[in-house]
Order: sequence, then C-alpha cells, then structure tokens
Amino acid sequence: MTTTSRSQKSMIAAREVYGLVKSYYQEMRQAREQGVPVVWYSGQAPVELLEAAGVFPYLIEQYCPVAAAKQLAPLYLDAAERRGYSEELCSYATVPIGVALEIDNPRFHHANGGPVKPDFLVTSHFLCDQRVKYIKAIGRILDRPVGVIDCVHNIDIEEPSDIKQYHLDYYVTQYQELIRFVEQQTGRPYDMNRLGEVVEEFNHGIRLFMAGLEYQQSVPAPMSASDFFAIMFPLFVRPGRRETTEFCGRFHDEMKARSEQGIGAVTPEKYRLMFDGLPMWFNLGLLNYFEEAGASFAAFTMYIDRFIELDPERPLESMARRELLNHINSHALRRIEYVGEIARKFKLDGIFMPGFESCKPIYVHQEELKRAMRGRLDLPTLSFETDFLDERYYSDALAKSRIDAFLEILEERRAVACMP
Amino acid sequence: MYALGLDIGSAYGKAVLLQGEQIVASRVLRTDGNMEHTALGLLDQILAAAHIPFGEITFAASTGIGRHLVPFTQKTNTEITCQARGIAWMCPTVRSIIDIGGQDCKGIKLDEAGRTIDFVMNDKCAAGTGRFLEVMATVLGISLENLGATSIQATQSVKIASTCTVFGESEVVSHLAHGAPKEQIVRGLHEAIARRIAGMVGKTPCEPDLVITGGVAKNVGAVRALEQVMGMQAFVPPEPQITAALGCALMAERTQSHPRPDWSHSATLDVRTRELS
Ligand SMILES: Nc1ncnc2c1ncn2[C@@H]1O[C@H](COP(=O)(O)OP(=O)(O)OP(=O)(O)O)[C@@H](O)[C@H]1O
Ligand code: SF4
Ligand SMILES: [Mg+2]
Repeated sequence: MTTTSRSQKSMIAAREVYGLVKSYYQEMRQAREQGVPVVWYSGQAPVELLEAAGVFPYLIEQYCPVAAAKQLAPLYLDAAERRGYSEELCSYATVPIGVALEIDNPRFHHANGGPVKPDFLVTSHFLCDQRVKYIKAIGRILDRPVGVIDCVHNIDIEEPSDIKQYHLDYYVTQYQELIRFVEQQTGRPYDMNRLGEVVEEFNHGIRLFMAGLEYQQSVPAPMSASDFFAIMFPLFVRPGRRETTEFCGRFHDEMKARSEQGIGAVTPEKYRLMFDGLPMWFNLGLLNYFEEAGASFAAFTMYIDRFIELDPERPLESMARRELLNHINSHALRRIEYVGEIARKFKLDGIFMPGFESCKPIYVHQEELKRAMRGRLDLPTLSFETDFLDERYYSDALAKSRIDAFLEILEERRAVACMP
Repeated sequence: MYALGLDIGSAYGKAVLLQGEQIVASRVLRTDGNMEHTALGLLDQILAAAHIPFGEITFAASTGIGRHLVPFTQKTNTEITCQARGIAWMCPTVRSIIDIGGQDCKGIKLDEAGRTIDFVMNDKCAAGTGRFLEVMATVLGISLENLGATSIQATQSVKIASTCTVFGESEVVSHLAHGAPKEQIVRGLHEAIARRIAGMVGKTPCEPDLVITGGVAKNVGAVRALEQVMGMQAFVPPEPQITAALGCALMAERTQSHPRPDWSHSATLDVRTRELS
C-alpha cells in the first residue's frame, strides 16, 4: 500500500452540508410550531408534489445515515426488534420503525433532536415493497394516515418511445389521488401553479448539479466518495427550493475550479473506481481505506437517476415518465446497461458494490451485474456482505481483507498493462 | 540467496524457503493463539531444516490473516494473490482454485497469465470450513487425519442439513444417538460442506482446471464430495497446505528481481513441487 497518497477530500460544498442538515431539522421543528403540517415520506416518493403543497416534507430515510453516523442505529434496531420486527427486514425499514417507537421516549437522545411526529405519511412502491410496509407500520404506530403511490416493476420500457398513454395514466391518476389526499389532510386546495414553480426550480438545480458532476470525469477526480454522499443531500432531499439551486451552483463552481486546477480527492490517483450503491453509513471511514491506497471513487450510481428534468407545464406527466424510465424499477438488463454506461464514461479500473443482502431488489441482480461488468467491460468488481446501517452484518477485518485482495488485483492488472 | 514466504493462517502457520525457484524446505505449524510466536517458530524450524543462518535470507514476505504480525516481514500480500501465484507457478493451466482453510473458504479465478480475475470468500461465519470438520472430528472421536479415509469407506451417507458448527454438532450427536454408522456421518458432513462451498464459489463459476488447496484438501473425503457436487475433477497438489506460502515466497523471490520461469511447455497439470521436506 502506498504511503504517498493523501486524501484531499472535503470540498467546501460538502462541509456546508452539515449545516444544511442541521437546519433541515430546525426548520422541521419551526414548521411544527407554526402549524405547518410535517409529512414523513420514503425515498423516491414524489417529494416535489409535497414541496408545492405548503407542507414540510421530511424524508424519514434521511435520518438513517444521520443515526448511523452517531452510532445510534443499533438502538433503533433494538427498539424495533424488541417489538417483534424481524432482524431480517432491511435496516432502512427497521431503523425508521425504531424511530417511530421511540419518538416519545424522553430518555432517548435522538440525533439532531430527532424528527418531529408527522401529521401524515406518503410512500411509494419505488424499487421495493418493504418501504410501503414500513411506512404503513409507522402510520399504525403513530396513528397517522398514509398515502401510497404504486409503481410498476420489471416492465419493458427501454426508451421514452416505449411509453404508452396507459402507462402515464396509471401514474398521473395516482398523483391526482395523492393531491386529493393532501388536500384532505391540509384542508387547503392544492396549487398546481406552485407545483410548476417547484419543478422549474428543481430543473435549475439539476442542470447545475449534473454539469458539476461532469467534472468528476477529470483525472484526478475532484470529489471523494464521502463528499459525494454528503453533497447529494440538498438536491435529493430538498429539491425545488431556491437555496438548493444556489447550493448546486456553488457545487458546480467548486467542481469546475478543482478540475481546472487539477485538484483531486486522492493524489496520486492510482485507480478510479465506481461506487455502486450506498455506503455503510456507520463506517464512512472505510472509504479512506480505499483512498489511502490511491483508489478514488470517480463514478456513482445512486441518487442521480432521479435527476431528470421535469416539464413545468405538465409536471405530473413528466414525473410519471421519470418513474417509468428509471432503470431500477426495470429488469436486470436495464440495470446492467445503466451501470455499464456510467462505467464506460468514467474510465474506470473497477467497481465496488457493497452486498446489502437485506435489500433484495438490489442484491438479487448483483451477481449478474458483476458477471456482466467483468465479461463486457473487463472490470473487476468487489463486493462483500454487509449492511448500510446494521453493524452486526459488518466485520472490519473481513471487509479490509477483501479490499486488500481487490487492490492487489488492480495492481497486478496495472503491472501487466505497463509491461512492454 | 534465499527467499522466505510465510502464510500465517487462522489454524496453521506455513513456511516455504526458496533458493532461486527451488524449494529448499517447507514447514507447517499449528498456531498457538499467538501468531507472532507461530511465525518465529516457523522461522526457527526452517533455518534448522536448511542449515542456514537468518542472515542468508535476503527477502521475507508474509500472507494469511496474521501477515502483519510477522516481525521480520518485508512485504505483505493477501492470501488470494499468493495462492494464485503459487498455483499458477505449479500449473499454468489452472483457472480455478478453491482454498479451504481453518476459518475461510476462498474461490479464486485465474486468467491464462495466472492473474487473479475474481475471487469470492465466505462471509461472516466459519460454516463449511476446516474448523467445522475439526469440531466434528472431536465429537466423533476420529482424528482429523482419518476423516477422509473413514468417509470413503461409506457407500451411503447420513444427511447433515447444517454447516453451522453449533447446529452441525447437535445433528451429529443425534445421529450417533440413533446408531448411525460413523463413516456415513462423516460422509454426510463432507457432502454438507461441499454443497455450501459449491454454492459460494458458484458465484464465479469454476472452470477447469480446478485445484483444491488448504488444509482441508488433505482430506480425501472432502475433496471427493466437492468433485461430486461440482461435477468436475479437482487436482490436489502434493502438499496443498503450503501453496499460499509458496506463492508468497515466489513473490519475495521475484522481489529480488529473478527472471520468471518459462511456463509455456507445461500444458498438463504437472505439479512441480520439489523436494518437499
Ligand atoms: N492432515 C490433515 N488431514 C485432514 N484435514 C486437515 C489436516 N491438516 C489440516 N486439516 C484441515 O485444514 C484446516 C486448516 O487448513 P489451513 O492450514 O489451510 O488453514 P489456515 O490457512 O490456517 O486458515 P485460514 O486460511 O482460514 O486462515 C483445519 O481446520 C483442518 O480441518
Ligand atoms: S429493501 Fe432496499 S430499496 Fe427497499 S427500503 Fe430496503 S433498502 Fe430501500
Ligand atoms: Mg489459509
């Protein structure tokens, strides 16, 4: 392992995120004080639609990394398991259930003061069914109503031209129903013009963000993995807000400057990897282990599939298109295409895909994906069983021994490639 | 000029001493819970066997879970890389290796140049590894060395469902209590770990030639069971436990910038282990 590599991570934008997360929780408490409804929603539910409804949308899954980073996740898992929720459930479901169970416990010290109780909840079948089940469980625990959007999985939509009117109708009518549900809950008529404005703002943010992300193709890659996972917060969790767009602008400018000045997250950058999936939130330090060996994460697959511009004139229809075109709701081959496309673009040496066994929809395709990356793109892959939040499924020694072996494979390939 | 490779595993320490590409001596030593002791013990034994002082060793490298605990190591590599190196040196036609040690089971895929293309390792627990067989041997009152010979006597097997050491043990006890013949139980145990290992290495499908290494490769019953489940012939080097230490020694040796041997003539599996002591 080289000792000359040093990590130049922590972009200014990433450091800014800590403050933004703090104010997310403060604003939620203010919303409660001012009588603004607080809505818990699960990942990839139509947050833009909620943002326009004059409520405070709170992504309960955002609390998972926050809790894990503060080593609180085991306490929530324990709370849920003591009430009979199985250890086999995905921890992204069990931790929020634990939060709901402990939310009124005065002796429990939640991170960032914890979320405030929701007025109602919204979820979708995006990617899996567990998130619907767990949000409904929380609805029962806290005695709050739940709005649900169904998503179609494994359908044969490869291109926009494959989308039929009935596909769109299926989503649009559900969004309309959700709007009626929100109106009932808030007692206010929904303002479609406001949704158009939110979507427009969201589009500004996306354009800046995606343009900034393009600079990650530079060698060395300007942004580290831990920065990436922080920087995603504003646009993924708080889209369609002016502050988010401004943040995206600063992110873009910093990426551009770093790229032009040749500043990399890891210097010297020996290997460029893709990070497919989510990190182990309780141990982001593991990312340094890669970086110390000169391996940078140049490409990512998570979150960005949501950053597709929406049509402010026809917001519901374009949101429907976004769901329908998302590779992750589709079959394994689409996912292989998607990951392969990113891999080609970023000139990579290998792929790291943590094996989250409890997240079946992702895990079930992983071996196929690995084989395809090896076979089609000659890219070695690394994965080992672990969990995003549950440390019981993680062993530092085992993880590092596999990373070491993977890095040796990369080194060996490099040596052969350099041979005359 | 001597090069030393040490493989400090969870169950055994292994050492191989090379002079050029010639194996001068090799040793296997049970670990005593202190891996540094094991490394020093191996060093003493190797020096005594080769009749050389420590100063004659120009390069020492280490591998295995205890590789960082070898006080005199100059280079560390993972067991995956060393195993691949050792086996590719012995036989360039090998494409798949299954290494079954005390606590780990590893599947390694090689390309034509002997480079590792992919690997899989058992996760989290020692189910289906050597430790499982050690515990079962004790329960059955059969020596580890005799497990293989015992199981190949059996014409049928008792089905063992679990490769978890704790559950497996109670299953064995219950079969014994019902009077099942020991050889059938042992065969059942070998079949159980073979199924588990085949399932694990199946993630990167094995291609011939397949070699089985690690201490468990000394157990002919386990090897037969694995061949049967995999539907593939498996080769076992004459001393399968030392191949990672050998690869490690070869890497140490090459660090002294010796030329690589010419492998091109060796088309068949002609295991070139030399003068093993
Ligand atoms: N003579 C023998 N006959 C049969 N089996 C044996 C013999 N010697 C060792 N074993 C088996 O081999 C196992 C140890 O193998 P090995 O030395 O390859 O493990 P290790 O390298 O120490 O472990 P790991 O690689 O998992 O850290 C023992 O657990 C035992 O089951
Ligand atoms: S199963 Fe996977 S996709 Fe579904 S909630 Fe859990 S982590 Fe998310
Ligand atoms: Mg070993």
